[in-house]
Amino acid sequence: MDFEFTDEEVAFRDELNAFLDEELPEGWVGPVDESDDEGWELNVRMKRALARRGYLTMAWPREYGGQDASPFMNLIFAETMAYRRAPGNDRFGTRMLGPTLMHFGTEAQKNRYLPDIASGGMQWCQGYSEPDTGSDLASLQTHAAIDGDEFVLNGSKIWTSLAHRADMMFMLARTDRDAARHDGISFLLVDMHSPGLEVRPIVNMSGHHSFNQVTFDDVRVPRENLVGDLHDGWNVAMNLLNFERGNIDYVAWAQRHWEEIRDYAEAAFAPDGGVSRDLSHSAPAVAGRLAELSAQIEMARLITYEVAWLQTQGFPPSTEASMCKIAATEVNNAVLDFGLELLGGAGLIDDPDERENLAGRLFRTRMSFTSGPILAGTNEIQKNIIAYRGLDLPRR
Amino acid sequence: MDFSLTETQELIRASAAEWLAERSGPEFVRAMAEDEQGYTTEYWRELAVLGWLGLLIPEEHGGSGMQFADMAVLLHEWGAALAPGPLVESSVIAATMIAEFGSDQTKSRLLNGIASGESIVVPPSYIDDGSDATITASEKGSDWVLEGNARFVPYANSADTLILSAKSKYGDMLFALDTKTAAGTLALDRVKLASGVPTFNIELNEVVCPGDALFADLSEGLEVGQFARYTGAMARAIQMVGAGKAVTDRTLEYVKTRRQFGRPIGAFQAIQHYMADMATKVKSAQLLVNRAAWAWDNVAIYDSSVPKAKWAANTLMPQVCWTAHQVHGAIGFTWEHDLHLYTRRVLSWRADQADTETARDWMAGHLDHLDFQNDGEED
Repeated sequence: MDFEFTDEEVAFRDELNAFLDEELPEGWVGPVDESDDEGWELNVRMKRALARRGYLTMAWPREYGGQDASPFMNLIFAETMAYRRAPGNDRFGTRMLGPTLMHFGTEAQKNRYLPDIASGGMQWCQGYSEPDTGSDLASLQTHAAIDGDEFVLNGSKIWTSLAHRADMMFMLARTDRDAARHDGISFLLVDMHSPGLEVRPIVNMSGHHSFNQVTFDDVRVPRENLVGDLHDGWNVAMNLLNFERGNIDYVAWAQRHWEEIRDYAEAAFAPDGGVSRDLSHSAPAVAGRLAELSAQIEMARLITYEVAWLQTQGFPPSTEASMCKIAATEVNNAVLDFGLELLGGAGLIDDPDERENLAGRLFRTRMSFTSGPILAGTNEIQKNIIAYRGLDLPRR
Repeated sequence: MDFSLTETQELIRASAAEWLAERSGPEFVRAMAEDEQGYTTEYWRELAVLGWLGLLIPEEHGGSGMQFADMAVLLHEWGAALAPGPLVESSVIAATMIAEFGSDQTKSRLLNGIASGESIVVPPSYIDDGSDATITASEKGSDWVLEGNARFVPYANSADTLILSAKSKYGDMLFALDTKTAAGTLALDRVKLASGVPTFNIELNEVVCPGDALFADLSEGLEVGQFARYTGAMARAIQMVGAGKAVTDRTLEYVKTRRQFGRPIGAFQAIQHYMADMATKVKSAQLLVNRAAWAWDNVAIYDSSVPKAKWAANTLMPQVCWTAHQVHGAIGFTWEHDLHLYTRRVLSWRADQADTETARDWMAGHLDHLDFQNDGEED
């Protein structure tokens, strides 16, 4: 057993931090607001800068221009990016679609899309959920009829992050309504500028436009945009989901939130600490609670590290990835809830002009992270996965 | 990073699991909970032959000088089997205290005996029962006179040597008292403890111990105590996680075979989510405990991961036990079913060395050292 990073891994983290010091705006606290044009520009600029340094695709195999970076190097990259709340770590293109295309794509698809993903020049979004299809993904109804060399898409996708910024969407559509529900689905790549495709914003509970509803009204998609075999989209998508779960981001965010709240508490312990509250009389209780949360973060982090380690050993980390998703999203929200209470009235401020300060952004942050236990497979679905795959419990 | 066991550890794990399944099954555990000594002399001798009593003792003193991470593997199985006997007391806490802080003379006198199983050394107990039990030490020529009482001392009736914490005019001190030769009265009163471990309140009346029984330099008295508690807290956390794992495994087996409404109860989502929660809690605490054991060997004994591990075990493993009772339903509420044996131990270990309040205080004491991306080099 060894719980230390290697010298090479530590050096990489230092190098990445130095790069971020250079590239991020002065005094950056983040995160970027992607619905804001200025924020989106920064995201694109960072993505391209990460691409130029080779960071964006370091996880990719060398034959596709990557560096074959080890699972721990990838973990350090994701952890550091999330901890710095740095924009530009493109999860849809580089972390999800890219590896899927390498596995299932045709040579033409690889040549057409991988270079644009790698350069940070093409933004992707993911079309899975539908108004009547959430956790039960295989119930999806968006239909792709085959018409000569084209598919004709009708239906709707929802909760689509970045659809309003994306050039392309990878999505699942039903291509055979008569087949068993998992067997009639295909994986398609759709140009977001196609006629008949409409993107409508949805504002989330934090007041932020982060996701959208996308409707397809006779949208024509060339047959060459089918990834994998016809009707085999479920298989393609399930492989892709394994790339999605179990990432370190939530642990790093929880750690950063915890540190900000700890700093606030430390200032509030002193009578003239320059923050909104005087907590000098509750210091031991507050410190105890901070300590507990820190232990919980540590546990979530260790599961994430174990996921990376399992990958180095060639083991599928399915159960541990689900455990980590639950632990990390829960502790992140517990930290934020604690902070909101600790800040008192300041924790209730929701003022766009005050976001530079913890007090001005914490409430909105907590509202935003309500999505953590919901997205990418709800935590209840994760428990089902643990029960079926990890504990071998019967489905019926 | 490497989350695997070494070859040696894998060997310890496999042989411990096998031996304990045979020698320390539920019937033995139940019988020993009623027994005066709490284990059998023959069983203890076998443990010595296996080399397990001296894992942490340096080779020159009859042990095998292994790492704490190696001992942790044994302690996990030891906890999972609810194995009786003063392994943690004598071979972990006392052995490491003596090896780290004892004089050469104390080391030669005690360590070989611990490793060979011929002597049992019992360290101070740290179960807080709210009493103001203390021992005072006063000088009498070259000897010391001990007066007062100590509470909740496990296996005190087996101890050849009791390490006692006492207050003198110089401050806190530790004595390694030879119980066979000590002059004065040493009265043991057994407490009926939930765990079944023979546990005693001790009263000392004019117990005279020779000057060489002074265990540690006066100035070190407090530090030795803290060392012992960190070590003990980690050992208890490991045992608790072992027990929690065993409880989860047993419950998992039960939900796959127990049928209601025409299907195994493990097919119901309510039960599945309980099981997923239990497995996640055991996994989380296990990783933290591994991290703490690694730190003991490689970073610092006073690493923040030690109180974190005990806090995690204290808060999560009782939840695992209570959930297991719930999932078992009425059968898990019976005396006959073994589940309560685990629960009793887990609750006793929770209180020992560092209860939840203490563990939280220790964690809070480390807050200043907590710094992200420091590679575990805090403290």
